[in-house]
Amino acid sequence: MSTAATGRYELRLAGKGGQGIVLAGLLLAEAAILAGKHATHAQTYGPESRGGASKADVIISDGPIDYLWPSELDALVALSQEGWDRNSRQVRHGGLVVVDSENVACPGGVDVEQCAFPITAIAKQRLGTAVGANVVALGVLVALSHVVPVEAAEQAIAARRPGGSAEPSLRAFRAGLDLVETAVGKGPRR
Amino acid sequence: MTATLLQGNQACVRGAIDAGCRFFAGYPITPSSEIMEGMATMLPRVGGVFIQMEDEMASLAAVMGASLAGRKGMTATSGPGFSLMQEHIGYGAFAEIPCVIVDVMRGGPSTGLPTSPSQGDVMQARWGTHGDHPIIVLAPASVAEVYELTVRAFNLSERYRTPVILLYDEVIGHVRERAELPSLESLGVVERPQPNCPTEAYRPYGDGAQRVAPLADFGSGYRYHVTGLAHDERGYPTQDPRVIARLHERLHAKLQDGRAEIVSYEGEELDDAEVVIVAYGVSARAARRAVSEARRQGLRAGLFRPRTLWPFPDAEVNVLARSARALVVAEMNMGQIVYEVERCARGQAPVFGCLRADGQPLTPDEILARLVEVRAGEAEVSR
Repeated sequence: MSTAATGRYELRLAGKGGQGIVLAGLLLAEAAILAGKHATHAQTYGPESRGGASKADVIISDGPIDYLWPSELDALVALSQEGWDRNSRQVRHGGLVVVDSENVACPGGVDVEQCAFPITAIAKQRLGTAVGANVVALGVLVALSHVVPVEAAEQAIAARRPGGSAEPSLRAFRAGLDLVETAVGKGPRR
Repeated sequence: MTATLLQGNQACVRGAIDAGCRFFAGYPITPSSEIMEGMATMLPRVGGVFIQMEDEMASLAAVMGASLAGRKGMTATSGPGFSLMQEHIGYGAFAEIPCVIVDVMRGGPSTGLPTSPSQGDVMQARWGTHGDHPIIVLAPASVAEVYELTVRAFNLSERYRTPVILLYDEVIGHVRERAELPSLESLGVVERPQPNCPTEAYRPYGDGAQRVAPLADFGSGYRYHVTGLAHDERGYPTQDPRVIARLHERLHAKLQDGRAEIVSYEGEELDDAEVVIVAYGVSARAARRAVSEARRQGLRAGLFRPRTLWPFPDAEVNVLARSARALVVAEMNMGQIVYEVERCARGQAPVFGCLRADGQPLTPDEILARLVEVRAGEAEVSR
């Protein structure tokens, strides 16, 4: 069942437990709702609390959402090798893949728009810690996909205040936007 | 109410607080823990009491104690804890103590798959405790419906003086979705009536309105006895066969008589359906998509979605079996409600399963493939 026909945008964030995958998905879904859309957020994780595979599926749609899982991914964000290995085959032809160039080696030959950025490195550089890579990735994703407006994403971050303060996360998010701007020479659609 | 991104388990907490729940005792377990967490945050703010107990048996015992003292009480768990609660569910049903038990289903049996969805506790919710006992089990399929049916669970438990089980799977518990919650005014809140007879005339197990006597709060001056032994109208143990028979008949009649209020379901595209899917909880969401895709392909499919699993909407399913060519039960277990549907169909239409029990959700494609197979007559008669 094609997703294009139903007006759904299906997206997965994948990585390791502790990388903030679930939170990044949550911010994206909240941004979509702030932008007046329907959204769902489903998380999957193993029995371990850290280090196991973690993923969050976000579906964004103009209308109500019946089925809660993606059938073909419009976009994948992979912050770990396993996140890429396990999920890349589910991305639709021509879909978008964002990976952390430090942690993920993607073999070629896949018909997707593949974008590798030093996501964790930038988080360390801008925030002094790898915690925040999730929100950097969110910035990259929003800049490339325009699935939610930048303002809605910033509003969602400011409202949730990850870690108790909005400021570091907003910096991380904008670092993600900057990565795309620098790489492709164009800013996010505003 | 404005739309918010809300998690199923959080919706349960909101529903409970809005329904007047002021006591929670529990023991944390994935994938239900957010309910406990939320109740621990919310209850002190509204003058309620939260206790983390040493295990699930004690949790339900504490809830029933609070209920007898006049508080609306709830506990929440998942399969392994639900197994431990079974003895007290029977006690609550027999001693007619209102309370709400949430079971957020994960893969079983035993510790199974702590973080994966399943619908494997459906029969346990009905028959997990020993002995004949009436029970009400509600099965929401969305975050907003978790809120609605949590309020309903409290209302039905108060009205019929019975434990009510709210049964949903890990996905409905953990998924966050845009939810517009119904207003509390539209749902109503049932408060427990108190007796107004002279204390010596009080019969806590007598035949009152809707076959339920009012339940006096402990400490309010009405003295009565509560026991898991077969009991007379005053609550004292008895071996008198006539008294015991009357008790069992009344307990069963109270839910049978209240059927119209208790049994709730939803139908989609049923009028001309040649194949009807019966699905509940998260499976119904995949089924809904399969129905629209089937219709697009010219297969006249429909969906029957029980919101009340027990008592089962048997008369309604029987009507469908008379009009449809076949029934397909889509559920995430090795086959539980499929047998119930087969019983209700009474041979009027063949019943097939679309089953999955590997920790993964049923997909619209799987259900659609099964529909096509069933219509073509390719499905094995034995399912």
